[in-house]
Amino acid sequence: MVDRRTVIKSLFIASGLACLAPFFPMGKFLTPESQTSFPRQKVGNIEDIPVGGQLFVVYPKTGDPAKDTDPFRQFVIIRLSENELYAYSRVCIHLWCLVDYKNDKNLIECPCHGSQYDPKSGFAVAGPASKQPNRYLPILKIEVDENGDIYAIGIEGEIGYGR
Amino acid sequence: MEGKNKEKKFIDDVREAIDWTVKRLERTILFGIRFVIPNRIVSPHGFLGMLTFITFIILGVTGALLMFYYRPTLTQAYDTVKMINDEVDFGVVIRNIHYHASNLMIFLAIYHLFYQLFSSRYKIRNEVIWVTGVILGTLTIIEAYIGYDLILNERAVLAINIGAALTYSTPVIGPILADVVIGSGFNDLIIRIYTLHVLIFPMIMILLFTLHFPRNLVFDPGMVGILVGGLFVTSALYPVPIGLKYQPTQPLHITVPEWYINPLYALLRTGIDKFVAGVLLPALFIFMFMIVPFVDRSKGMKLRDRPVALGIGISGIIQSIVTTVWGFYVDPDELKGFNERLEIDPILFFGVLVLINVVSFGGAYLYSKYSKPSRPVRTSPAKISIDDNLLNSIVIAMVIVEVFVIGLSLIKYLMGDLQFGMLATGLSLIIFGFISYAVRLASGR
Repeated sequence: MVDRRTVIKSLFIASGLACLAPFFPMGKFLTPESQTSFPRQKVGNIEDIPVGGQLFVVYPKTGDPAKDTDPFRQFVIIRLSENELYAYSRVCIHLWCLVDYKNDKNLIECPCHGSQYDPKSGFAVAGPASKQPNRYLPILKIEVDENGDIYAIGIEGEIGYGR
Repeated sequence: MEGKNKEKKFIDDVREAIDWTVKRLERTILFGIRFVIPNRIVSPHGFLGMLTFITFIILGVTGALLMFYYRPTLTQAYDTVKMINDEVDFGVVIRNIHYHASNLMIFLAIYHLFYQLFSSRYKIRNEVIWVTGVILGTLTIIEAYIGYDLILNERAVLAINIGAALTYSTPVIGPILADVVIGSGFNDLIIRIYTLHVLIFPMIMILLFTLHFPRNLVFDPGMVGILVGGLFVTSALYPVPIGLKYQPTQPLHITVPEWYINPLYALLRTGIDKFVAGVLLPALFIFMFMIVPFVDRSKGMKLRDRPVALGIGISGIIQSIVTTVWGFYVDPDELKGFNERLEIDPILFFGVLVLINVVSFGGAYLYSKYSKPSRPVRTSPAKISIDDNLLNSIVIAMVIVEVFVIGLSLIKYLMGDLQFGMLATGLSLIIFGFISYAVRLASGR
């Protein structure tokens, strides 16, 4: 038999704990919408990129030079043929140097330790990056409209996963 | 005659005023802690924790000063550290003291831990003090690690890179923590770890101090003088380099981390699963120390009565040293690739660790089983017999030398020779420490 005192006391403790509930959603402060969601932004035009060439873009672009120079906002769009576009984060999965596309080798290459990636999948095929557990360059999701304008709409994968 | 009376009266007034103040201070929390200034020469082993805390205070003061100039942004972090180092007056002094004090604090904390472990201080109702101490030591290392990330030089980014990988590889809380700390890139990361370094971690540590400090604390001005003096001398002789700025388009060189996270680096280089190597095994190592008071329930205080604690202590020391040194080793063959040079053979590495544990625990067990109980030997404290007059002359001579060294230090600062000035500042503090000991020796008679 539970006596009245215990019931009242438990109710008091429970009501106190219940007051904590509204504070949990406030954890969102630490990972705000602006950080987890991605805007649709025009990053260039398909005519800017010659076939077999590349275009470096900043996404999401803020206009603040301190933020726009962040390596984690640097992406490369590669045009392999007339209508074949691939876009990746430039942050090498090994040690966070910025990669670029080498036309003569048909590979994405890191200038630091020579990691190489397949331009069609972003998969590391050689160098230290190929020894990582996660071997894919994060993908920049893009759309091209009828005028040839390229829009970035999001990022797939974790940039700066670390080695 | 009258003058003497007057003087005495003045001193009485001062005494009364002090007495009055002390009586009021007794009403505050300050007097919950008893500070003892030893009047004899005592071994610093008894107050290593106090020395660690004093180093923490030095870090707080120098760190706060660095905050006046440092800016936690991707574009400015390295440049402002460089400016502090090269342009701000005495910036190089503050930065060097801050850096060397961080190393000293970790060293003292580890020394403190092993001393308390071997002298079985975790017994006699000190379990909470012991556990909070192990937590504080861990926080100290993480705090120091975050601190050197803030410079954003190559070494910092390599360390951030490893930290990010470990965070992401931790199941469940890892990705959430990564989102909170790294945010959307370097700009979020740098200001968040800055906040952690200058505010959140120190606050947590200060709160834990209330659960770690015993009621009686020993404050030894002589030892503090030697400690701070040592920091100045080390800073003058080994100024910390600023490193190369992190630039994402330039190759990073192989840089080993700071010594206190080298064991972790060695573990990661074996190539086994990141979470196991970088989080689970270090956590297990720390846990091994945390449970010492609960696995060692023996009544005896002597080492031979406590084989488990002895085994943990010996294996802890040897493993720390071996993994730290191993973490520093990089294959010198530059023709090999980045990864090949850093690879550590996991079978060899973990084989050695297992061997160390077997030898340590086995040795401790054999020692406790077969060593004969030694008869308690009555030792009288060592007496240093120096003639009183000689001692007085030594004190006077040291004061003269100290004044000379202080003068030298001031002149060197005025001339802009900070390195020599720091050396002299350090020496004067060390001499002060020795004066304090000599005076104690004289008054102890």
